[in-house]
Amino acid sequence: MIQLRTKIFPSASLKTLYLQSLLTVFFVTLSATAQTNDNARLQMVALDHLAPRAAEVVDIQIDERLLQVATKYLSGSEPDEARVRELVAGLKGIYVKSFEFGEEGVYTEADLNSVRAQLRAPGWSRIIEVRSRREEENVEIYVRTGAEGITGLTVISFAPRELTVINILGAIDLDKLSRLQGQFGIPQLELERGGRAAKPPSRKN
Amino acid sequence: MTKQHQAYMLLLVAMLICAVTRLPVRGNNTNGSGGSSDDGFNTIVKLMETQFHTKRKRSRLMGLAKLGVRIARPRDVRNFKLAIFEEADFSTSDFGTPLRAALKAEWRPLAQVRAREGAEQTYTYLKEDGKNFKILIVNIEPREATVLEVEIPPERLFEWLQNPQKESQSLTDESGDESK
Repeated sequence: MIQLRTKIFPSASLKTLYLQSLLTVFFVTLSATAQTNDNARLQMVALDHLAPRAAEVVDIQIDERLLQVATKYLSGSEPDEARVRELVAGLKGIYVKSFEFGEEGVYTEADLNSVRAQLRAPGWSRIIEVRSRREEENVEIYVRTGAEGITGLTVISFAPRELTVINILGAIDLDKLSRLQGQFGIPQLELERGGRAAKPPSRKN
Repeated sequence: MTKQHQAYMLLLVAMLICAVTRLPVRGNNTNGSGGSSDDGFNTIVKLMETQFHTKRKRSRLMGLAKLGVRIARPRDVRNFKLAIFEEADFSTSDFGTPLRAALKAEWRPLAQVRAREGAEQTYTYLKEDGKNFKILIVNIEPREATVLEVEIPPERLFEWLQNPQKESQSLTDESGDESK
């Protein structure tokens, strides 16, 4: 390999070639890391072990390609379709995992932490945390921001017998989220326009 | 090659391995490469027969079911394929894992709903097929199961994405009702 490289670059010294190679590998690694970090999609497989003990499980996966193709065929002239098209524009994926349990105590803090840990990555920040002691319902909303603005949003909603994680990629804000409720597998979050999370999800779609 | 060169080479190889393994996998999903055919419907019908030791129901009424769905949704549904299984024990904790393993990567999971502690499971997969989309729905209840594959035009895709659970359920119900 060394001989081959020195034949290709006869004027370059071996040491220079090594340095060039090392730099190339460094930048490839850096680029790959940047691409990985650019992905705001959460891994929710750690929650899969809850499925056999759940009374109901809903798992929705809508990727960017599907959203793109679907919106392409929406009419821009029909008011309803134009509204939906505007709503979905900029979204790169919608992923929902929701569990309802017949009893309390099925999921643990460790399960919640498996999701929260990913939301400690650079770019993510928690913007809303609602704890209702009386109703034992909790909602946490995180957004991921980058140079181009908001690039992702995650909602973790949990009550003693319910756990829902919603992960939306792309340009999304709370106003858009409130309008997406009841569609694309996103449960009714009882979000008020303007961004206040009042109640945890209830499936009404 | 001197020891210094060897050390450089080892370092280079190690960094290359790191770089390659960090690169995100594009294109093919690493899950579900086990399907022997790209025909999702036949693959899953065979899987059901093997997994639950049963055979699909053969009935002349199946033709009526197809016709019924065509009439009900003339613009929407094409290439309708339906298999109904009855009188077998379909109570399984999770059919999702073998289902996903059997389907080729081009079939993408859209929705999975498991309700009432295994009493009913509905899996919806989707695949691009030229300009259109193929949708594969597997519905399992304790004593009966349905495998349904339909083709929809891209104009209908948005409705499916907006409410995949409802669309899957209504199509499964329609086909089931028509075949009875």
